[in-house]
Amino acid sequence: MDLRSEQLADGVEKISLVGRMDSIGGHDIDMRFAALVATRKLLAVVDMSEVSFLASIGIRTLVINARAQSSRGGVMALANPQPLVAEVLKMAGIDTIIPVYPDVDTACSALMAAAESR
Amino acid sequence: MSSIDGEPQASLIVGSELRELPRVSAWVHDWAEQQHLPDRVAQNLDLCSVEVLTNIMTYACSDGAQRIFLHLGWQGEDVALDVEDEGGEFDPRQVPDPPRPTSVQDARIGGWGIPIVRHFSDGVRYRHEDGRNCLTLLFRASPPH
Repeated sequence: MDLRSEQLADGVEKISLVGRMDSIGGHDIDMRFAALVATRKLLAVVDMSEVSFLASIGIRTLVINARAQSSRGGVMALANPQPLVAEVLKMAGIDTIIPVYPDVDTACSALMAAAESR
Repeated sequence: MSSIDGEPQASLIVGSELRELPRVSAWVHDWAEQQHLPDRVAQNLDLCSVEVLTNIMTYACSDGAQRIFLHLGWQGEDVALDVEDEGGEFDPRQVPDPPRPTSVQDARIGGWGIPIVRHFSDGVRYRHEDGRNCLTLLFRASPPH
């Protein structure tokens, strides 16, 4: 797997994941993902559009990092999952605890609005 | 062992180590392509085989020295994936689903592998025979004519 991060103009951290999120792919990105998301308060959008496969081990990675961000007072959202990945998220109820948006722009707007209303 | 082009059945033996997973996924997709399975069925086969094998490799046969026997074939209109291992007896059908999460703070971070298999396959059969766990997953499809 690969991970790219980028700070968007509105202060949102965009994290793009690429590849198969199974035990092998997770091993490639877990440390960098945690270093980005679990160490400081953020509005983080994880772009899932290039994740072709999400196994249960990937659910673990997403929940651990969303929890760490929540504990720091920030928010982590997911954007644009492919259909099979979206179905895994829905099956496990993850879409009810980590917000999922159809694209990165919509996710950014929603996170900004939520941050302003706090 | 690898599949023969166009054969309606294929077998593979892998070691019980996670680094074998890419080889299994490639084998599944090769066979699915030969059988002209819809992408969706191939993806479900891939996902369920990864979950089953990750469980076996992580818990039942975690020393990495044991072999896992895989077989793909047709049972009527269904694709059948057989997975056999010589680890401790384990019937995944007996494992309850984790509770639905209510917040990121209380969500279970593990335990989703078997629910994924239940959801993305169309049937799960299990028997323990001659010291082996014998698991069969069924996937609805139509055999090539």
